[in-house]
Amino acid sequence: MKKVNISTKLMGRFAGKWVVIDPVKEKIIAVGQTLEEIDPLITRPIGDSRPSGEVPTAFRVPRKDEGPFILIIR
Amino acid sequence: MKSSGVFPYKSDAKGNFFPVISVSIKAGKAKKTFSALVDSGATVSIFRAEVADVLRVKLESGKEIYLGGVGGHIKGYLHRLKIEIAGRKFTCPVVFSREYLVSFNLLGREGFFKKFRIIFEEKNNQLQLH
Repeated sequence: MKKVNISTKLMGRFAGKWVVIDPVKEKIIAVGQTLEEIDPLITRPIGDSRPSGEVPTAFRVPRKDEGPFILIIR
Repeated sequence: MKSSGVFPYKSDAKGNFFPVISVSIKAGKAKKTFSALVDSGATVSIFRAEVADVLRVKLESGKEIYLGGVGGHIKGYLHRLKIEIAGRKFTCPVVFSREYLVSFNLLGREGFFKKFRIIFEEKNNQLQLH
C-alpha cells in the first residue's frame, strides 16, 4: 500500500487498483493492489458514529478495458 | 447524524461518471466502508468476493443463488448484512460471488431502494438520497 494525496479528479491514474477515498476532502489517500492491503484504512470501531459518507472508503477503479457497462442482475 | 445527502458521481479511468456512494458494513466489533454503484437494474446487491474476505464472512455459508443478466448467469451466495448508508442503518441482502469480476460493487433494489427517495441528477453528476 502506498499513501498518497491526490484529487479524485485524477482517478484514472489508478485503473485496476484499489484506492482509499477521503470523501470529505475529495482526495485519494492510499493505493493498493489488493483490498486487503488498504483494509486498515477503511476499518473503524463499531461505536464510531460518523456516517459512511464522511469516512474513508474503498473503491476499485475500473480497468481501462472495462465498460461500457450494462449491469443488470435478476 | 445526517440521514440524507448529496453524493458526487465518481469517475473511471476514461472520465465517465458513475453514481457511486459509500456503504459501511458491520464486521464483528468493527465496521468497514466500501464504495458501491447504485444500480436500479439490479434486483439484489452484489459485491466482489474480496469484500467478503476482509469482512471475515465465509462466502460459501450463504444461500447459493444464481444471478442472471446480460451475457449469462453467475453463481453467488446470499448473505444478510447490517449496513449503514447516509446515516440510515438497516439489514440488506447482499450476494458475494467469485464469478463477479466487474470492478463496481452494486447496490441493487432489494432492501435498499425502499429506504430512500433516490434522485439521479445526471446533469450535475450527483446522486441525492432522501
